[in-house]
Amino acid sequence: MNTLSTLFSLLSKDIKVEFRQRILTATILLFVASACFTIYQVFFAGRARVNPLVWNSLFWLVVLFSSFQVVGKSFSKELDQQFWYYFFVVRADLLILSKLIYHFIMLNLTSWLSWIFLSVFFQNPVQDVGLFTLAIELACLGLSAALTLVSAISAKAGKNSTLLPVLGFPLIIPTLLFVIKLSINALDALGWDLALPHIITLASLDCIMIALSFILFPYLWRG
Amino acid sequence: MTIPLMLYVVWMGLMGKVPRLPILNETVRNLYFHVPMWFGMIFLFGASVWFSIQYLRTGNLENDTKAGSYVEIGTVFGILGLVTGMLWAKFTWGEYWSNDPKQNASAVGMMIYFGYLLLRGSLGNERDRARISSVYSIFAFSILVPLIYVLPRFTDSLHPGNGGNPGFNPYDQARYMRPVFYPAVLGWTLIGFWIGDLVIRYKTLIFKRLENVK
Repeated sequence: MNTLSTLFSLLSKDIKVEFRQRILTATILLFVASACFTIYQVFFAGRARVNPLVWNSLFWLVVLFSSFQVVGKSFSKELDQQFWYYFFVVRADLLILSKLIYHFIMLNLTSWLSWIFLSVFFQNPVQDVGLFTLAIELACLGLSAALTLVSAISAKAGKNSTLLPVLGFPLIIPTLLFVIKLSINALDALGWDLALPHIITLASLDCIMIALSFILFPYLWRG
Repeated sequence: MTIPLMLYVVWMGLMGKVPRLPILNETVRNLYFHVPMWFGMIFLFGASVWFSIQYLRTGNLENDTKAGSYVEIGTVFGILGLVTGMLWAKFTWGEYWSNDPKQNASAVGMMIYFGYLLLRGSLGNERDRARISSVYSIFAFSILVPLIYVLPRFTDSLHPGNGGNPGFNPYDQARYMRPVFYPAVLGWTLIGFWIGDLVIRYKTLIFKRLENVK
């Protein structure tokens, strides 16, 4: 019970701070909106048609690039001033868990916003909404799992802005590739039978990454 | 202490000569160079991850030196594997880079480990470097494995043995090639570990000299 309440208070602290300052939410909103608008302008100026497959790739690119905005700053505070306080009060595995959940929520916001904006500027080509939602959830889980630990690593290394993309990009490519395969299924409404192998692989990949960040983060935190 | 070590090294050096046996085929010969590179790379990275785990368990800096050196050699093997593969692909598939899932996956693997080396280079403090890079290395390796072994299974590859291409299976791989192929894998892997061992000993020497100067 104690662990749960600690976890809850850590999480609610992050969310409350976000509600008061609204920096990250505003950043996400603006980033996604301007990215989608830029894409629209570029395609309009280039007289290129956006078919569903192009839409799909664009959608995941927007989510991918904004996910770096989401996780980028989140550990800098913890490692700066509050570090010594946290070090004595909080268990490290609870801290990473709360960060995972927080990033998961923010990434959800990002993906839904991108979906909405891209659907406004272009049409909405998604035929199987349920499957696409599942793809988004699995992607957010995977992105949050992969990038939270990498963000902690680069924050620890003290070069957050440069190291995060360099270390993060290769690590999220597997997740991204499976998600794109899955969401193509959702676009064409090919049915859940065909998508099932991708869902299982993606879910197990997510599980591996979450378990690993859970195990490894205490070692990172200790020093 | 040195004598068994030197014997060990000489034995490895002799073992390393085995794969250079010339077999007069055309591009098939690449099997002895390209494929063992990947075996060697994955063994070296595996060893590196093992020593990273050992470092996190024991806190002994020697383990971190080993982990870092094996990654350096493994990356060299990976680059050689990519280059030999690309040369071979130019003559068989027509392009250096033909968007093959295995090619892409290995390129991503290289990116991961360049990131690792960059991370190591950017950290001055030995303890910090050891701890942070160990964590990254374990995390990265466990993502690399599904990338290399699971993802290509979902898509057709141009590689021999995939998607109806002839090649890497017991019938096509003729009997006379196997006695060379398996020692080639072993030989290249051992060469990798031998070079890794040299690098480790060199680094340990430098480390000790620095300690003495202090």
